[in-house]
Parts: sequence; C-alpha cells; structure tokens
Amino acid sequence: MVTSETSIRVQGLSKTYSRRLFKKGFKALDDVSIEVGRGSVFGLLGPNGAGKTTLIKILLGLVRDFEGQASLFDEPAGSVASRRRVGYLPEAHRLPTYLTGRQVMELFGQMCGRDMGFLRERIPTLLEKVGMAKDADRKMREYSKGMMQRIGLAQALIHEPELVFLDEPTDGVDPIGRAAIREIVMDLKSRGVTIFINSHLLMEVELMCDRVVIMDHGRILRQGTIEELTPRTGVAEFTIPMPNPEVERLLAGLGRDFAFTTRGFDIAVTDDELDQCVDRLRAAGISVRGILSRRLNLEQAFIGLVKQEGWK
Amino acid sequence: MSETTKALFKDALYQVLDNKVFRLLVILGLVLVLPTFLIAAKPEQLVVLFGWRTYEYSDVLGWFNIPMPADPEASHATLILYAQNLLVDQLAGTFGLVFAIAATAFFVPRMVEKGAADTIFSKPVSRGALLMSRYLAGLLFVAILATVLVVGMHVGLLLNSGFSDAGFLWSIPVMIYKYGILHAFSLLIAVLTRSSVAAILTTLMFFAFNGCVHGAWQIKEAQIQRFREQVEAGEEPEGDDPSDLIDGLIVTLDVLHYTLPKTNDAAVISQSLRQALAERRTVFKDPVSGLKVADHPEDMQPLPVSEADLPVIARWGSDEAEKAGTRVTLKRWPLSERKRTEALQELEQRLEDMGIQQVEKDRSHILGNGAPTRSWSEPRGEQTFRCETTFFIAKGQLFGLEFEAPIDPAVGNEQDFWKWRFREGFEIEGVARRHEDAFSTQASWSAELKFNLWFSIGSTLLFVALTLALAWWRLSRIDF
Repeated sequence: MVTSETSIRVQGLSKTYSRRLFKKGFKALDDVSIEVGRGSVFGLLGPNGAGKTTLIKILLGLVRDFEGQASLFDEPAGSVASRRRVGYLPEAHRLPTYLTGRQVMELFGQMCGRDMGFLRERIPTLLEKVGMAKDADRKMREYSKGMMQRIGLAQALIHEPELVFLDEPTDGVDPIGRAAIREIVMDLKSRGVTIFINSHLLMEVELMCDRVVIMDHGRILRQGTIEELTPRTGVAEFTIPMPNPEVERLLAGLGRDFAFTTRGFDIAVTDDELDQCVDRLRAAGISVRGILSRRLNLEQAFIGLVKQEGWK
Repeated sequence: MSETTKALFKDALYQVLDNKVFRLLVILGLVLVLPTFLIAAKPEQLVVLFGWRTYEYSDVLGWFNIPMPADPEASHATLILYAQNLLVDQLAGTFGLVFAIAATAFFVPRMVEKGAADTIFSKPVSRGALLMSRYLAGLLFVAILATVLVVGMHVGLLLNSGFSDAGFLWSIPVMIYKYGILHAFSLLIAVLTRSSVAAILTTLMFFAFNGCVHGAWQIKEAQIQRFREQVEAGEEPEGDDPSDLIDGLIVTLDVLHYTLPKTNDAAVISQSLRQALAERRTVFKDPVSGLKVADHPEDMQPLPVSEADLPVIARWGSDEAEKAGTRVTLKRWPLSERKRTEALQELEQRLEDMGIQQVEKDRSHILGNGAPTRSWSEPRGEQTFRCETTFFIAKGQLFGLEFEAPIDPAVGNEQDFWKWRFREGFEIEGVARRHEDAFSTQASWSAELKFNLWFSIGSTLLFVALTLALAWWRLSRIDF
C-alpha cells in the first residue's frame, strides 16, 4: 500500500567525520538526496564504507552535526517526535544482557510511550511472529545470534512504528527465520508501514524492495525500481519439449551466442530476430513452450555499477 | 509518572538486581547484620547466643580501647554506637563504597558501546534522561545495600537488645549521598573515556585525593585554631605559627576544599543528624560559654549557686558522712580579664603563702586542650584534704575546676576515677573533646561558613550537578 506521502526526505545531506588526534577526518556522505514514499519497501545497497549506516544513523539522531536537510514525517531527523514513530534494528546490535527477551520488549515498548496494557497484548503476538514465544523468559545472554536477531526485530516493531529501519535484518538467521522475516516485512508493507532495508544479501533486497538506492563512497550511484536497476541482457531463453540438435542449424544466421540448456537453448537476439526464431521453429514443427527475456539480477547490476564507478 | 520514566526506573532496577557484585554485597551485609540477632547488648551486660556467655561492659569496652561513659548505665549504648560507627560509617562507608564504585562503573560504558548505543539512543528518550537512569541505577545499588545493612542492624538491635536509635537510620541517606558524589564523577569519566577501567581507577584516585585534600585542610585549620587559642591564653604556643606556611599551600588547600565535593563530611553529617534526634542529658549548662555537664559527680548533689558567687558557676557536694567536705567547684573568668598563666601564678603564690611546699604539677586534657593541674594536700582542722585545681580554656573563657576531698583510705583511687569520669561529661558545642576531632566538633548546621554543614552539602551538590551537566553535554555530542 504505497501512498504519495513521504516518510523520509533527505536533501543535499553531507557528513564529514572531523579529524582527531592521530586520525584523519573523512567524508562519509556527499550530497545525498532521497525520498521514500509511505508504505514502500526501500533498499539501501552499497559496499562496506559506502555511507549506508551513517545515513540511517543521521535519520535516527545517532549521528549529529551534518550538512543538508533530513526529515522523517516532516519532523527534523533525530528529534524525539520523529523517533517515536520509528523502529530500528541495528546491525550487530547488543540488547541489555541483564534482561529477558520479554523484559527487553517491555522496556523498549515503554520507552516508546506504550503502556503495559498495550504491551501485554502486543508482546505475545510479536514473540509468536518472530518464533521466540518459547524462549522469551530466558536472559538475553543465553541467546544465540539468530535468537538475538529475532528479538531485535521484535523490539523494533513493539510500538507499532510507521517506519522501520532494518540494518542487515537476516544476519545470522537460518533460512526458515529469513523466510519468516520476509513474511513479516511483507505483512508490514501491506499495513502501510514504510520499511527501509540495508542489506548485503541482494537476493533478499530483490525479493522485498520496491525501490533501491545504490551508494558508494558516500554518494548515490543510482536509484530506482528493481526493474530500472536490472536491465535486460538481450538473451532470450527458449523452452522446447526435447533436446533437438536441428535447432542450431535452423536458426543459423540469426542472433549470436547460441547455447543449449537443459530446458532448451539461449540465444542473444534483437526483437525482430526473436520473431524470426519463433517462425523458423514453428515452421519446422518444433513446439515453443516458453520464451523468457533474461535480465541482469540485482547482484550483477550492483557489482557492475560499483566496479564501473570504482574504475572511474 | 510517564511510561518512559517507569521504563527507565525498571531498567535501572533490573540492572542492579542482575549484578553479581551486588548480590555478593547483599550477602556480606547480611553477615554483618547477623551478630545483632545473636549478641544482645543488654543495659547490664553483653549476652552472647541467648545466654551461652555473658561479659561485663568494663571488660568489653577495654578490649576495644573505648573509654567508659560518664554514666555507667550508658555502657551498652556506647558499645552499640561504636559498633554501628565501625561497621556502617567506616567499613561500609569506605570499603563498601569502593566495591560499589567498581561494580557500577560499567553502567555507562556498556550503554555507549557499539551495538548497544544504536539500539538505546534511537529510542524516543533524550540522552540526558538515559544518563540519569544510569546515575539512578548506581544510587539504587547503594540504597538497597545500605537499607539491608542499616535497617537489618536496627531491627536486630531492637529485637535482641531492646535498643532503638532512630537516628542511626540517617546513615542510609548519608551513604547514598557519599556514593552519589563519586558516582557522578565516575559517570563523567565513563562518558569521556567510554572505559569502565578508566572510570574505576580515576574515581578511586579522585576519592583518595579528595580525602587527602580535606584531611590536610582540617589539620591546617585545627593547627591554626590551636595556635590562636594558645596565643589568646597568653601562653607560649607549641610549634610555629601555621599561618606562616607557604601562602600558596594555604590558598591551594582553601580553594580545593571549597570547590571539591566534601566526601569526608559524610560521617560528620551522619553524626549531626543522629545527634539532632538524640536527647542529650544535661544537668548543668553555663549560659555564657555554653559549657554543658552531662552528669553530676558520682554520689554528689548540686549545691545552690547565685550571681553573687561569681566566678563560681557550679558547685557539688556530698551528703554521705564519710565524704563530708567533698566538693567540686567550677569557676569561670573571661579570658580578657584573666590569663591562665596569671591564674596559675596566683594559685601557686597562695599555696606558698599558706606554707604548702609540696605541690604536684601535671598537665591533662579537657575538651581537647592542654589543662595544667596543681595538686596538693592541705590540713584543715583535724583532717587533711586532698585538693586539685585544673585550668582549661574554651570559647574565650578560662575555667577553673577544683576538687577537694578529705583523705580517706576507703575512697582511695576511686577518687581519681570519678574525677576523670566527671571531666568526660563536659561538652561545649563547637569545642572538640580531642584535638583530632576539632573539625567534626565545629562542623554543624549553624556554624560559620567553613564549618557549616549546609554549605558542605550545598557546595557538594553543586559539584555533582556540574559534573552531571558536563557528562550530559559530552554525551549529547557523541556520534554513535
């Protein structure tokens, strides 16, 4: 449920960590501008040191003294009012080890202004969702990394935020847990919650995000929808009933890079050539069960873009 | 109370209850409380394990080198107060606090370390409130321990010994107060360095340095006062004028004393609060000097004294036939009119005129100051009297304390004992019994600025507030 309202608005944002004794200063963000619509799932990609975490931390008030403008729901980024509407699962977070999972959720829920009446109903539901209902009364210090991550996600959602920042949400989580987290994200999206995901697992991002920004060295390299960021390769993937060595001869002179596959064959062709391929196969009585115009996946697009920028 | 405040309070409590050192200290506290349930300090004697053994107070107080009180019936109270002071003010108030500092120093570093800070500081709670929640956690840590120790001992003494001193409960806020000063400093160092080890070491060094500064300042003040009193009394001062110390040293001590928090005063504050509640027995009070006498000399009654009898201000005598003629007389002159050296010369001259050749010269201590004594035997009719006069100075007055009693083998050494105990019953507000106690005696709620406890607390709280403000300012500027 994407609306035209904006959850996050960032304009000309720059952040330079000042030079310290024996430490050189460096620019973590350089003139970054993004807008995230309410109810969308937004992915932030970039290699290590690209400035992704700094951007999130500025939006949450964890990093101060920046240039440019940043706001959440038209409130200044970092203000108490804006943070009240936000949930955050940090990367490699550490929750208070002296508390149990349930106490962590009570503590953070109350810190976000929710009363115990609300929390007593909300906590069991959330614990069930993240698969931690059985272990909720154990101390945090007894949890595995995956369990910590699940409780981390639950605490980020405890007060029913309108915007959730997830920094490496599936880090350390097993495949079943990852699927559960994806399900939770999609459920939140369906309720109009804006999700801001920072992840190195591009498959996850590709599966969940509507829009993606790719950053490197503090700058935005590209932003757009998944379709916009993953262009077609020009390769058509044909599915035919059974391997037929005649096919290569039939299509001689059309396209290039012909190669058999387990389900049929691949061939790089233009749109005109694609029609001719179909005509020749049908004329030879070969049934065409499917044609897929192959695109770059997000990982290929990301690596290509970052390498290209790195070589500049 | 807002949900956020409730959350921060609960967080502080959970943090304390989960602390292993805290649990250990609770057990140690209970170990210290246990003897109050097993040993009964009854007014007549000390009873161990419900009658298994009994001990006389004169023996017990002697083992611990504690002077017998003027009133023998107050022996059990003297022993209990000594034990309370030793266990609570000395042991818990010093070693207990060192443990508490070490155990709570990690509260802030753990909050600001990578991973933890991101989670907690992204919540809609100000950094100042989070810092204060860590401060509160430390105070709770000590408050619970102090309550276990003090209330436990109080209940034990009440049930087992039938002794109740509500003023002892003041030790709880005073211990929290003392720890609160050090915890604020520890918090500041923790925010600046983000290191528990640095916070512990620096706070302990600060604790020791602070103690040394105030200790040195108190010695300096006591020396100056003693020198002035001796000069005022027209006597040869013992030692050089302390004011001749290097000016810089005196100024430095003064500046440090006035600006640093006064951790050393915690024990004095505790005692003052206890005394404020306690009813002190007074049988005589001199309206001019404020000199109080706690009890009459043993087996004596007060004799009437009027304005016309001046310089005599109090007089006691005995009704008993065998003690007939026994007198204790207290005289007072303004120091401006009569110096002690003049008084001594006049006495010696009078004895010489009376033909008394054998006069013993001695020097004892009354109210913390040297008190020259002259003793002699004087024939009166058929009897011979043993006489003794001691001159002592306090509050700008010269006092003469005269004892006279017919020599009777039946009285013997006992005579000396009651004289000594009678002197122990003297007290003047602001005048120390021992020279080392000069500061604690002078410090009070109504004293002049440098000994004023309101100033001590006010300047200390100001230091704590500034320290916390600095810690908050630094924390608010950290990029996590």
